[in-house]
Amino acid sequence: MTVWVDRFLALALLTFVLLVATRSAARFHIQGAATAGSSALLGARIRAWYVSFLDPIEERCVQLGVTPSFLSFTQLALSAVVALLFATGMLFTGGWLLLVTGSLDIVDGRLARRTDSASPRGAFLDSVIDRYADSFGYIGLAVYFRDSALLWIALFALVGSLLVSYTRARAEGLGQSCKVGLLQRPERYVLLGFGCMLSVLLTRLLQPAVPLEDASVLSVVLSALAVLINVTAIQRAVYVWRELGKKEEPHAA
Amino acid sequence: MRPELRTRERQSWGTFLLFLGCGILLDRGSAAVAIPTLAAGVALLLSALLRKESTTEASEPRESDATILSAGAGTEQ
Repeated sequence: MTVWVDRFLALALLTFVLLVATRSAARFHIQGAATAGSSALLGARIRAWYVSFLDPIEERCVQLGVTPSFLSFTQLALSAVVALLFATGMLFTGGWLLLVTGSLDIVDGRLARRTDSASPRGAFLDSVIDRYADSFGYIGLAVYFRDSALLWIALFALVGSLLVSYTRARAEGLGQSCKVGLLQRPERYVLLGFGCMLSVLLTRLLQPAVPLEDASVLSVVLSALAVLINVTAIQRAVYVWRELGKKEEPHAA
Repeated sequence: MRPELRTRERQSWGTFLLFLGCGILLDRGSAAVAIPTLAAGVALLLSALLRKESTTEASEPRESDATILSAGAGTEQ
């Protein structure tokens, strides 16, 4: 019973921190944000604000002649480090590096467009590397939770994460665009990365008054993430099913 | 590189190293050092960001950064 009270307290604190962060970011005014791409969890303002951090990194990469593929492989190598960190229980550092790998994924695409080196081959390589990078984080967490039921939740999240990407790729292969869904890639990175970091931070802050463990908050975040990721995969599957159905109707008639 | 971008680059690297260093300390259980350092670093960063924001509002705004991010790497999300 006390375990659930602790988890409720941790969840309430996490929600509070996220609300404060979201409201603070909302105060930033960036023209064009209102009409730019956004989602339920990461609004256009937050996205635009975050991308402004990456401008100097992109500029430096251009100066140094770094190629987008090099950044993609760096992302892959860092993701493997993230898996090792998660597996060995270094959740805060792993969460932080996970956010960095997500940022590298943004920079490589921007760099490709800016240096006019975007190509179908590069996009394909990036997609393959992204799937490995996605999987590494969940594999690391699965190893970390190997002695608890959360192992299954980490695996459930891993499957959902791959299915979210697969449904879109398959739909596009059938000529149907599919950009719907609650949790796209940036949201997944943000939830998992900050979830890991806050989990450790709150534990250190609240101990010994509240007997939390390093992964107490993370277990709640991971469970929510696993459900939401799979909801997203189902959302996409249903959307594609309906859209393809509409295309088939005239032929049937 | 423009001076403004150089300053922002230093901030980006500073943020990366701050969270990496404090993260390792936190993970190893040295909260007494890590949490005050992290809090001070984040306070410095926020004050720099708020300064930057006031200058951004005054200068020519950038359009469609969020569109670029929403496109991700231009590949599967």
